Amino acid sequence: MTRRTPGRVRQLPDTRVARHCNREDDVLAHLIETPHTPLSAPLQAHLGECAGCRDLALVGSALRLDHATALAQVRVPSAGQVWWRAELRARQDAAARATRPITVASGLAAACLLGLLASVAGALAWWVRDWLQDQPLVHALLAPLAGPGTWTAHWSGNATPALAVGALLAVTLLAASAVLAAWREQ
Amino acid sequence: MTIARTALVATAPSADGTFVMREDEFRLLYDRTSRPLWVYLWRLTRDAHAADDLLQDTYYRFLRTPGRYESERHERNALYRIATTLVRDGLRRGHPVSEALPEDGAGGLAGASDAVHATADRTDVQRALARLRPRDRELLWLAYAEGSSHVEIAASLGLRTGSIKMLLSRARRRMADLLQRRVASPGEPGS
Ligand SMILES: [Zn+2]
Repeated sequence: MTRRTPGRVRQLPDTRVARHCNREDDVLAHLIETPHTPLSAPLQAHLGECAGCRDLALVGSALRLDHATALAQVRVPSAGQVWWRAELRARQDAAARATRPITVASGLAAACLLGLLASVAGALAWWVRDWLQDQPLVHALLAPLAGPGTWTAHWSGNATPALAVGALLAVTLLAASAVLAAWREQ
Repeated sequence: MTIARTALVATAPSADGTFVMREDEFRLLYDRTSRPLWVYLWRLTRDAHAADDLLQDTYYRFLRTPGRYESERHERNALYRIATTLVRDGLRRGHPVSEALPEDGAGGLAGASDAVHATADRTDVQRALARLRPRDRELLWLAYAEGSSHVEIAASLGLRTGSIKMLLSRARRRMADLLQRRVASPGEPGS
């Protein structure tokens, strides 16, 4: 008479997948420790009646074999090669970190320069307007197009403050985008 | 019962402080871990070139990350954790590692002959693994191919130890289904 030692199978709500059997450890130990010896008769008999342990034996033995074969064939780079590449990358990372503040600074410098240019353009606009108002030739040329005095009044009344506000907006936007770009990079 | 093995893995930073260990210490770690780690990466990505790159990246990140390891197993778990995260990041960025299924003899090991992959059994395993969800692949590989304990699997995958048994059971069921379906399907060429 064969003595059978079936494992206690605990049925959990999901009956298809959630079976736990207390013989699983024995099956696993066999797969890992003595994969080339046949299963003991009691364990073999248990597999006949326990689907969970059958799955374990099937999946476990397939993966053990696959792993052993792959491990026997794998070629990895030498430790020296990996170390050398790691050193190279560390140097590149360090260089990238060192240049990051420069990138931020150049972004801010560009924003400042553009702001300065916009201010100069604003100041020049005043000067150009004054100069143009003193030119009789310009008056003579533009008078038939816009009516007398209209163009200079328009310029001095609206355009210069609009230019200044535009310049201020541009500087703010540029500074914000420079800061954003620097933050993203980091 | 548990023997405290604190500072068993005693390493000193490299001379310039760039890495957390010296080159001679790294060589020992690498010789111990690189081959199974490469196979793990290859099985998760099914791409030998990706496995090469990820192996390099894994060790680089490990070398740059300060950590205290109580044992070589802890050190190994940390490496697998980094490797798993890198593979998952690759997946999130859209590297289609689970789209193309391996054909017979395809997706082989770097430098290995085609004959290695010719056996129907191994192809079945590859196909079944390819059809699994990434986490199921990770779990099954660590548990059965590598023989890791539930604690080690949890540490390597960033999961709770208590959840491993259930997750493994489900993953195993799915893979067994895939393997059995493959065996049961008649007239498969090459099988
Ligand atoms: Zn059982």
